[in-house]
Amino acid sequence: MTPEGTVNRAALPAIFNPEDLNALEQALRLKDQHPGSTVTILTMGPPRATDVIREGLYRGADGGVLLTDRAFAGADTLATSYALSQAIKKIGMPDLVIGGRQAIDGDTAQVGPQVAQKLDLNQVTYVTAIEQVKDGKVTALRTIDGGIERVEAPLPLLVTVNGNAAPCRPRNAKLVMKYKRASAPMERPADKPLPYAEEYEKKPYLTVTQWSVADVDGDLAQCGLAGSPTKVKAVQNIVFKAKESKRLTGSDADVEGLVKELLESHTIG
Amino acid sequence: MNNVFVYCEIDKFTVEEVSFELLTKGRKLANELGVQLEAIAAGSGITGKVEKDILSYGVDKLHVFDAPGLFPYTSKPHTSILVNLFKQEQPQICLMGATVIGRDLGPRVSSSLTSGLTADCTALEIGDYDDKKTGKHYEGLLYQIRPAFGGNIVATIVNPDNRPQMATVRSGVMKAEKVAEYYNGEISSCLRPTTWCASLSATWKRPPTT
Repeated sequence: MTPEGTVNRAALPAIFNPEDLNALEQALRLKDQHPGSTVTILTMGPPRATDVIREGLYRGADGGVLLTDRAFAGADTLATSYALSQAIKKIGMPDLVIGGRQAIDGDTAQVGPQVAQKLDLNQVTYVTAIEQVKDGKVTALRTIDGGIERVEAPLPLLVTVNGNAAPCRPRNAKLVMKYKRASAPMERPADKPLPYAEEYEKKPYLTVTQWSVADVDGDLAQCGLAGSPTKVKAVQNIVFKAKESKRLTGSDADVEGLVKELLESHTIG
Repeated sequence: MNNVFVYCEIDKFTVEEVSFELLTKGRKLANELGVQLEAIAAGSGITGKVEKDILSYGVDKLHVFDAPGLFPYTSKPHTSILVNLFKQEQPQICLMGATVIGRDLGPRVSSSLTSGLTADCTALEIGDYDDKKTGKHYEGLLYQIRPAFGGNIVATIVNPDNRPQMATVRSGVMKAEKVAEYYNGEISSCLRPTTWCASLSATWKRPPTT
């Protein structure tokens, strides 16, 4: 934890959020069904978050954008959605924005709908499968309280995918070979010559697009900690206290007493 | 102005239990802050069917939006109802259920109003907050208390500057208690919210199930 009450993410590994993998699979399936369409991965985080983009490239994505800047740090869901929506505008409005329902740190499920609102997109949340995209319309199954409903929505659309959707396909060996040296400029050594510099020159796809606040025309007041209306007042660790505890020895009398008590309370028997 | 608002979820003509739980909590918060409790109900053909139930939880003013197309729930019309109503009424707190609907709707409203939203709160309290950086003192803020990082920590979240302070709460976390069978609250009816729902036709619909 940092003094501002935010999490020190530099101390944590960057992982692919599980439900985002489900989302990636939905995107890749649509790419398979509609030749000519492309899948671009967008993520915001420290330079190390390029791991997530590489993982996506290994599994079939066509490209990636890393949104990284100190000014993005400490963002709550609102500031995150602002940054992402600015980046999506810069990429150029896609037909479909697909994301995981929620991340496993905050479990808020807020970023998807917040991005949709900022881009004035329709949204379908809690999706288990995108059934088809045809004539500018998406048919999808979504999990609701007590069942599954089938909805139809016009493109462009934002979809958030549930963990109960199809798991993501594994890495493709050829793609791993192709993209294993893919990296964002910020990951590369600044003080010494770049290894395999020639290769990067010849293969532009090995350089992951990297954008800062200025690159996406971001308003600093809406980014990061400054753009986050929610502040953490206090954080408590949960400590389980023994409210009613009894110390027993291994003697026959104690064991017999315990068995009798448990029988009486119908815990056993 | 500055009142506590609760968004009531309507399943056809009945109000969901989670909304009653939130109204009960909202009443307590409003009493503590010395403001009024207001509620929002949006659906199709709900006029005359939901008002008494909602008012009985101590609602001072109920905003009813009754129009075809508001049931079943879709994101954009309900969002535009809340956003426009909140711009006009300037609530200080807004509560909704952490349900499929509440978690679809809440983020859109907060995104549009650039207000803070805390999901899945397990407790809501009123208290003061000192911003250590700016040295500002805030009184009567909503403490949004929720577990985070897989339940390993409990965080207390506040929204010092932005309004409304929004929170979602899961069903069954709070207790529903009626205030009076016939509570004398005001009903504000909007039967043709066309200006509110300019996007009604553009939103998604359900094809017939096969």
